[in-house]
Amino acid sequence: MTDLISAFVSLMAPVPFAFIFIGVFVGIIVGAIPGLSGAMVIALTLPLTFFMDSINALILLVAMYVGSTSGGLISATLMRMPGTPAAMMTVLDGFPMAAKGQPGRALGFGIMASFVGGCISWIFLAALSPPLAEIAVRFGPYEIFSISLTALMLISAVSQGSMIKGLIAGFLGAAVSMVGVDEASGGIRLTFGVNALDAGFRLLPVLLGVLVLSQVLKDILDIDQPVERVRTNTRDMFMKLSDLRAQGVNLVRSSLIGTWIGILPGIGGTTGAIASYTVARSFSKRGKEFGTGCEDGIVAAETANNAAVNGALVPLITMGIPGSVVDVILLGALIIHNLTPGPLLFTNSPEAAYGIIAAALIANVLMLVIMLAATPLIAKLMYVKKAWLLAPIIVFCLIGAYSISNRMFDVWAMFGFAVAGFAMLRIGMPTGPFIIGYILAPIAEVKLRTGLMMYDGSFLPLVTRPVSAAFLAIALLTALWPLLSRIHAKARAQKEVRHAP
Amino acid sequence: MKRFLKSRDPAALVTESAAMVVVIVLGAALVAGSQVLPEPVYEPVGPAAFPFWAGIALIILAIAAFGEALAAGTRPLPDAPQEQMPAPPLRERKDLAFLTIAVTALYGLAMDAAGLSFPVATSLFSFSLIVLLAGRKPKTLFLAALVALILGFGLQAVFMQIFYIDLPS
Repeated sequence: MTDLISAFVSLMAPVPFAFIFIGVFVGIIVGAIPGLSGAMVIALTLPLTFFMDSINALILLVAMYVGSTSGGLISATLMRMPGTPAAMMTVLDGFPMAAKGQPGRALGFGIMASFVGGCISWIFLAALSPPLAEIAVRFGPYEIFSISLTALMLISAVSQGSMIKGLIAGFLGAAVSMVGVDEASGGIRLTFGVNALDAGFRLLPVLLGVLVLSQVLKDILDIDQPVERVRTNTRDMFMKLSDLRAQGVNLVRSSLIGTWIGILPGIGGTTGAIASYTVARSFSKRGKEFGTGCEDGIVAAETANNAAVNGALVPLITMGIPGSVVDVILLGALIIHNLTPGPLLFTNSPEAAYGIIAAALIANVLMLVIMLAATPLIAKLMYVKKAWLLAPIIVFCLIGAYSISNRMFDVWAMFGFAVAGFAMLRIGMPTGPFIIGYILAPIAEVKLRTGLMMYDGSFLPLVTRPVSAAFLAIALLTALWPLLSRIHAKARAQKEVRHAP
Repeated sequence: MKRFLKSRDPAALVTESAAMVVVIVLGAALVAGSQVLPEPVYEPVGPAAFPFWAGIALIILAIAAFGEALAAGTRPLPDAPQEQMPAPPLRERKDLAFLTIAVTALYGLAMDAAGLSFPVATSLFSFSLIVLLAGRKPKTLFLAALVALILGFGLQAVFMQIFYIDLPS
């Protein structure tokens, strides 16, 4: 508790506070512009943090994460285009309500829901992280291996499109991570005689290529897409107390769903929003009105996607396992700034661990203030023509890829990953599992091989140690889920045929 | 072959099949690359096992994805009346996407092979790309030139003088 309070005190100093403010503001703007996402801006900002103090760098990135997740609701409501994938469910009710002449009310519900979701999930982040880290310190290599495997399976299973394509993306990411130095033995592998590959494919060129540049190419494809506009007004943007009371159960339920889904390793805010929206529709008295401009729908989606942000930070700072693609970038930021992600973060660098937690809450409060005060201005910025944004983004990507080790090879690798990522998007293969696979596969491999060295080459502890066994069972169930559900559906269909008159 | 010809969108099926062939080739490369790695010494897995099994998994999954695409592509069209079918998507600007890839590759080559400095290469690249995407009206040309110069020379100054980050030179 003392550590957390001192983290709050230190973050209220002018410089860290300014970084949080800038992070939230930039995050909201980027989140509001369709085609640009939080992952993009955080990946682009990462190289700029090289010169910064590690705490300031982390809080800036966390603030961008919070801001970008919330900013997505502005374009979802006013343009019928989710600014970020996590706002995709907000479109269903936000835009119809705005089109009916109540844009302020739709935005107000979304903003307040984002704030409440962020606050409730922050309580879990602050309360769960320190004790979880204490438990996670006792995890051996087999537990970490099983958790990594589960995260890989979950992200592949819940990513958009077919599970097979999600798995292919995950394995491709894993394959890319295997090139270069084998961390367990120190030997070089899979370089096929290319000396430049000895150091492997570095994090930033992979991230910038697959996440940012591939999206730039996709944006260029859709550059002629017409935009629907709804005039913004600030009337009714402040949610009434009676509305807040009426949405109480929805807010708490959606926060819990979002937080829980965020905590599950490998799953992010988009799934949280979908799950929460579906549950809210089932429980709401106005379930039939969902999709026509119902407040309950906006609240469910926006509460959950913001709650998932803090939820996803839990596995990141307690176990070093990223909860979403953005968390992969935050993991990269921790490594670049010489901080060890995982349970030891609380022991070795408590100021960083508690700084992240405190920054998440401050960013959430600033998000509320900025969104309520500046949404009409931000709404104007989101109509900026993409033609003017894409060249600077490519230049920033080049600087980011080059600056990691001052060699053009990384720039070419980034261009290669951009084309690969673009091809993946074209055939409906999600890029999220690729990034998660790239990050988690080396962790899984090193931990498994370390475990084997510790246990004289025995695989048995994988299933005899309870935590490891439990996560392996989840991974196996996730992998078999499509098959099981198909068998179940077939059996049900046969039963219906038998009972048919 | 018949299934290909009957499919709803042969072009998409060909694209997807080509992508899966690439995945199979990558999987095969992983398997081949793992065969030349040393035997395990300290534990039974060694450096070759993960690349080998990742390669095998990629090959199997690519074949499964191909089967999935074929099954989906040859499924009969729904009986919905024409007016209920979704509107055709807007024309995609594939020409612009390919030109962007070409201009970006030239940008990299200009610095890597032709030895052009960062500010000059960046200014030229930014101007070309903005004009390509935003049009060639006089006002656009003027603004594009201004933005290009700021990006080229401004970023050089900011990154090298303030952030102490080296740029390609």
